[in-house]
Amino acid sequence: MASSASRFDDGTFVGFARRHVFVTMFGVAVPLLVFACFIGYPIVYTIYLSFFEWNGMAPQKKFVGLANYAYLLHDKYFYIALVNNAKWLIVSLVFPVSLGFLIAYVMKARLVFAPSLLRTIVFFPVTMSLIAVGLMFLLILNPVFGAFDTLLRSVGLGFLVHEWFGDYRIALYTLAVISGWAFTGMPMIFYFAGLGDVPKETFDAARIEGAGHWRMIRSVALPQLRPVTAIIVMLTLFESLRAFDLIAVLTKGAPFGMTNVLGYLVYMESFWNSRFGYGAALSVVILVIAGSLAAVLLGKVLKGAFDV
Amino acid sequence: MAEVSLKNVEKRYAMVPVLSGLNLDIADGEFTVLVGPSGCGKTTTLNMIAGLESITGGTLRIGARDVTTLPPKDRDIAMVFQSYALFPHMTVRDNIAFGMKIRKTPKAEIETQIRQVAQRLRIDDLLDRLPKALSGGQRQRVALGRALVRRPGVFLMDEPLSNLDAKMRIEARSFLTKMHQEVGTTTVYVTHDQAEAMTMGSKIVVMNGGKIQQAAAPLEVYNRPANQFVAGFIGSPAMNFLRLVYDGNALLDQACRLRIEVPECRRAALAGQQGKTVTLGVRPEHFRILQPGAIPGSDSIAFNVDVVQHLGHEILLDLSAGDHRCIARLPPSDRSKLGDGRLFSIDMDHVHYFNGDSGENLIDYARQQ
Ligand SMILES: Nc1ncnc2c1ncn2[C@@H]1O[C@H](COP(=O)(O)OP(=O)(O)O)[C@@H](O)[C@H]1O
Ligand SMILES: [Mg+2]
Repeated sequence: MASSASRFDDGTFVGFARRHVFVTMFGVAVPLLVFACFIGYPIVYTIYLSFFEWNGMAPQKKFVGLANYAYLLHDKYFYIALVNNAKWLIVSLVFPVSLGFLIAYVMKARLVFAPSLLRTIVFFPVTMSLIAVGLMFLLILNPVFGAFDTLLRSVGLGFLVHEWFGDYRIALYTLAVISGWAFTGMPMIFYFAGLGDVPKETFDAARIEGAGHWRMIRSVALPQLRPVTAIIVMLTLFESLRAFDLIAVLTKGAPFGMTNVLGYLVYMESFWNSRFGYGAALSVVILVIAGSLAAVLLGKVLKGAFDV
Repeated sequence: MAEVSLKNVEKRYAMVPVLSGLNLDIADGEFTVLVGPSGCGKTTTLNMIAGLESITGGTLRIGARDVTTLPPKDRDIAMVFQSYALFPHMTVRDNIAFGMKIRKTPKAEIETQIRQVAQRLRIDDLLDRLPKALSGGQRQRVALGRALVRRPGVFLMDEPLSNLDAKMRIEARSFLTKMHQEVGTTTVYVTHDQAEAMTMGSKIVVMNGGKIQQAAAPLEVYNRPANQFVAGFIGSPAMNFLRLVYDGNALLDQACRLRIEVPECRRAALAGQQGKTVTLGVRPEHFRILQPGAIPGSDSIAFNVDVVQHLGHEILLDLSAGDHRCIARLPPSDRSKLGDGRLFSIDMDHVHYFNGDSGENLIDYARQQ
C-alpha cells in the first residue's frame, strides 16, 4: 500500500484514482446509479413507451411503431399548445426578465428607499408554490368579488376589466403574466449579484461623461452582464417549457384547449384520456425542443459571453 | 482652465466623519498632488471634487462657479481611475468617443479628436482593439485619452500609475509631467507614493486621518514639515525620530547617556518645552560618521550598527542606541560592518524639533521669514 501510494502520488486525478480505487469507484458509481435510476431510466422508458399504445392499466402494450408521432403531426391541440408555449416564453422573457433587471438596477443605483426590503418582497413569490400562487390569483382576479377588477373600477379604469381567465384571447397571457409575477425575483437576484461584479468605476466613468440611466443600462450595464443574461434566458426557457402548475390550478387548458401548453397536454393525454403512449411521444418532442433550443443558446448566446 | 477651491468641505458616512474641515486652494494650471497613507481620505476628496460622492458640508468651487451640488458632467472635469475603468466591451476608439457621442459631437469632429489624441498618446494603431488586448501601460494611456478629449477645466487622477510595474511607472510619471506642461490643465492627482508626489507635484497636499496636514511646494514640505507626520511621511528612508527631554540647553536621554546640545538660535523656539519631551527629527542624510578613534564630543552619539544595506550609490545603516533606532545614509566609501560601535555627529542646522505630545513643528517658519 505504502509503495503504491508513493508510486502514483503525482497529484493528478489518475494518481488519486489508482491509490484509492474503492473510493473512486464508489464515488463515481453512486451518482451514476442515482442518475440512471431517476433520470436515465424515465427518459429511456418514455422513449420506449412512445412506440406503443397503452391505457396505463392493461397488462399488454400494443406496439404501433411511429403511429403516435404521425398522429402528433396532425393534432390540432399539439400545435395550439406549442404556439402557446412560444407565447409563454416570449412573455416570460420580456416581462419578468426586464422587470427583474430594472428592479436590480434601481436597487444598485440606490434610486429606491429600503432596497433590501424591496429585494425580499420581490423574491418572496419565487419561494412560493405555484399552486398557492394560482389559488391566490384566482381570488384576486375573480370576476365577481376580485380585488383587481375592483381596483381598476375605483381608479376609473373600469373599461380595462376583462374575464381574465374566461376570455380565450387573453387567458393565456393572464397565466403567463401571473407566472412572470412569481418568477421576477429570480432574474432580479441574478442581475443584482451580476451588477455587484460590474466594476463601479465603469459606471462612475460613464456618469462623468454625462450618461443618463438609459445610456448607463444600454452601454455599460447590459454589455457587461451578458453571461448573466445568458443564464437567465436558459432558466426562463426551461421554466416556460415546464409551465404546468398554474394551468392545472387556473384553467385546465380551457377554454377549448386555448390555454393549453405542452406540459399540461402530456398530463391530459396520459391521465385523462389514458393514452400513455401518445403522452410519451409528446414528452419526447418536448425533450427534443428543449435540448435543441438549449444547444442553440449555448452555441450562440453564450459564445464569447464569458470572455472578459 | 480653472482653479479649484475647497472651503470647510467635509464628508460623513451615516454621521461618521471621514473628512473634516478641508480648506484647499488650487491655482489655475497647477499640478497638485494629494498624498497620504491608505485610508486617509484621498479618494473620497477626489470623488467629491468629481461629484461622484456628495459633499456633506462646506462649498466647492471650480472656476468661478459654486459646483457643490452640481452633477459630475456639469463640473468641467475629467477623471482617470486607478483601475482605468475602460468599458471592456468597447474598442479603444469607442471608449474615447463615448463621452463625445453622448454630448452629440458631430461625427467628423469626433474622428479628428480621436486621431489627435491617439497620436499624442501613441495609441493610433490600437484604436480597433478591445481593452483586454492591451498592456497595462496602453490601457492607462487610453484612459488618459478618454479624459483628454473632454478638454476639461480640471483633470482628476486617482492613483493612475499604481497598477503599472516599476519601470513603466517611472516612464509614465515623466510622460504625465510632460503632458501637463504641454496642456497646462489644472490637475489634482492622488497617490500614496511620496516619491511620486515629490517628483510630479508643483504643490503637495499631505493628508492623514481625514485632515490636510500641510499643503505646500514639494521642497517646502520636505524642508519645513508642519508636523511630525508630514516629516515622517515625506522622504525615503523616513526621517528618524528621537524622543528626548529638553533641559533648557540640550536634549537628553539619561538612560543611555545621550546628550544633544541645541544651538543658540533654536533655544527661543524651544523655550516653552523645558522639562518636557521633544521629538528630534533627523533625516538619514544628516548623520555624519566620525573616524574611528575620534574623541566623543558634545555633539556626538555612539550607535551600534545593526544592519548594513549596500545600494551601490549609497549605504544605509540601521543604528541603535538604547531604545532609539535610526537609519543613516552614508557615501558608498563607508566601511562600517555589522556589530560595529561607531560615533556619529548630527548636522544640527537641518534637524527638526517636534512637540512631544502634539507632533507640531516647534519652529514657526512662517514667523521666521
Ligand atoms: N462608503 C463608505 N462608507 C463608510 N466609510 C467609507 C466609505 N468609503 C470610504 N470610507 C472610509 O473613508 C476613509 C477614506 O477612504 P478613501 O478616501 O478611500 O481613502 P484613500 O483613498 O486615501 O485610501 C476610509 O477610512 C474608509 O474606510
Ligand atoms: Mg484611494
